[in-house]
Amino acid sequence: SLSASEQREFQNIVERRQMKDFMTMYSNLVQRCFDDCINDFTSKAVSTKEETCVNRCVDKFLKTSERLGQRFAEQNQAMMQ
Amino acid sequence: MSFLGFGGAPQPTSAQKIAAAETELEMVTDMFNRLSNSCTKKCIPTDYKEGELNKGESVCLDRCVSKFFEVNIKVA
Repeated sequence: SLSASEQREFQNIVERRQMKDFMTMYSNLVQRCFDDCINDFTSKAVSTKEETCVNRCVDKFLKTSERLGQRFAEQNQAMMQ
Repeated sequence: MSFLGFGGAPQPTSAQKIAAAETELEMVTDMFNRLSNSCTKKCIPTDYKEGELNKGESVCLDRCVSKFFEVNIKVA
């Protein structure tokens, strides 16, 4: 329902949004992993235990986002039909 | 459709069509963000014993998305 030039303009909007959403996701990720993993303030350096936790947290979060994205797209498709 | 010969409602302008598409995109994005937050909270424990998603977590996420959509439809 959008013409070719309208689609191009819309694509620009989509890209700008995706960039913004990515930045938001990044901020949420940092906050979540900090909140869940960093609880030891007897030292100002991040401990090994904390670092391991953060690495796992990031991995898990990214894999979760990926899976949710896939399922969401499938459900969305199914709903449109 | 108008049978009186007036031609019906005016066509939406380019700007209006794009604005409508953008609104829809915003709604879908918002829905995805909320779904992500809720399902992550419900399915992913915060002790991060490992970086991979185990089978239980994966299944939980799948079901969570499915139920979220169902509730979305029911409420609408």
